[in-house]
Amino acid sequence: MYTAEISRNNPSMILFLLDQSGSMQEVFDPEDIQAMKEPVVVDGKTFTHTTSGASKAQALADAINKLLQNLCIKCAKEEGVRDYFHVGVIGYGTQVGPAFGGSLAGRELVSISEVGGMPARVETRTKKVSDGAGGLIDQDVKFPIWFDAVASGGTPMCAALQEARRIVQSWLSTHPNCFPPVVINITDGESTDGDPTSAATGVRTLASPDGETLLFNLHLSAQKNRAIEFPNSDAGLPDQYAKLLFQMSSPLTPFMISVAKQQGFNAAEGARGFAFNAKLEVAIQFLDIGTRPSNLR
Amino acid sequence: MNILAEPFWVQKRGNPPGEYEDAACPLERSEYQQTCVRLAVADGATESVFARRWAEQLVYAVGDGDLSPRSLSEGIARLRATWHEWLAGITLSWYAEEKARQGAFAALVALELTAEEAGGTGQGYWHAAAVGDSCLFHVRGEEVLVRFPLANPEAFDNRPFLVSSVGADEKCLNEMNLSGTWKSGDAFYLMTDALACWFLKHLDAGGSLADVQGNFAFTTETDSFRVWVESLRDKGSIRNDDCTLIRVHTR
Repeated sequence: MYTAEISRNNPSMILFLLDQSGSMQEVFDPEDIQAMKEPVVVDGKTFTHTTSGASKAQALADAINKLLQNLCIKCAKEEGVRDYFHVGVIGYGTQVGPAFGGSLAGRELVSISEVGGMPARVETRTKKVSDGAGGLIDQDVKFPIWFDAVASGGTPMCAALQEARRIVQSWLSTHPNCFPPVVINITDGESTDGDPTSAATGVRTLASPDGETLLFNLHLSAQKNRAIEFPNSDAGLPDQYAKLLFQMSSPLTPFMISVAKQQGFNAAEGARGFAFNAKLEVAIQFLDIGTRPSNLR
Repeated sequence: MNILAEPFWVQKRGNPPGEYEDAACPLERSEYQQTCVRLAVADGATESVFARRWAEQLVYAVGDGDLSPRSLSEGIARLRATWHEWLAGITLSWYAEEKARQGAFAALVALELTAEEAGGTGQGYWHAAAVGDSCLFHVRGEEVLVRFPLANPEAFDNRPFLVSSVGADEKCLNEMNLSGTWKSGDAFYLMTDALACWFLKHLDAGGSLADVQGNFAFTTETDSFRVWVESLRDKGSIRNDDCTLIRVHTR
């Protein structure tokens, strides 16, 4: 199981679910906390302090941009990006639907070469890179952006998972022998349209002959807990939302566990595709398209 | 010393020949009379850009004497500097630029054969170097004397340590070296990973070397290597990947 070749002749799909709800306005890593004179109610929640810092929505935008960037780079060759994957991004907040903008707007699944060729914009950032002689130098690098921070409305996670099920089912009907689809849900965890457990099961039980659909969850929380990656139990998780998302997450395959370990993560047997306040870019390396050097970082 | 080297290759099934990312030196059937001969195969990694170009640079550097199978690390810095100069002169898309910055990667196995003494024939020394999972086999009659650097099929995976075009520390090459002696009639096989893994499985399953040598009866003038590899793929007994072999005969 989970050994089907991922190739341009037999591509797989990755679907991202982005929580774009109002609660994502919360500051992710608060600084300069100040008490307000009077409490303020936003989206049904009462706020008593102001603060500054990046919002969860910004952290989510950073996460999806980095995931898409890594996926494009993974599939890149000098002549272009090879279509090993088709990619969808479903946003959920005020509404549930395709979230790509620009020329990709409204499309449910897009080939990874189209994603790579059409970011909303390409920024120039400074990065420390090897000078080839043992030192580090600052170098301008191109940084593609597909998504900016968005936060409004509720958190219809059940509806988003039902939409995911529809898209995965349609993909499997036309790609019956593919490596199983991967669905990555990025959220602060507070579903407002009910318990998402059965909707998550509905996604995971869709399968190709090579295995069931893999559902991973990245939980972005304002709680100042340490990052947790790929736990194999919910015992150390900080709240009920984290525990629920853990329970909804698929176990990593043996190959994925070996890659996670190789990348320095403490992924034990039974580890699940769940991360709390952590980066999830390594999940892209869980997908095997051919020889990847162990010394490639 | 009289050496005959016969290279064979076939690209991964489903890919056009232009996407073949292994490399061999020599690229054509070659006979050598000199007292020192260097040969190599390399396997460019799928997950890197310019992998074939880097694999070719490595094997050509071995053939030209710029990389020695006695110590690859001595020449690698110069090769990397040349690579960086070339890369700096080209314009790339954002994704190829970022991937090129991460480096090009290839497995390499290199072999040097020398005559025991100047003008001598019939026997001599060999030196080999390897990084990654391309392999060398030293064969005498029906016996495989040496399996290098990997000795069993379980040792192969899709995450080998490879020669990178970036990196300042030559010690980070993870180079393995081995030497020995050869005598007239010995054969050496240099193989990239999919073929080497199949070969080791065949040997471990009790398959005789005579069978393999029978299978290896293809010639450079025909498509028989391609046909043979395709038959292994049809049976599911070899991983679908580029396959390269240099068959070396000593006389």
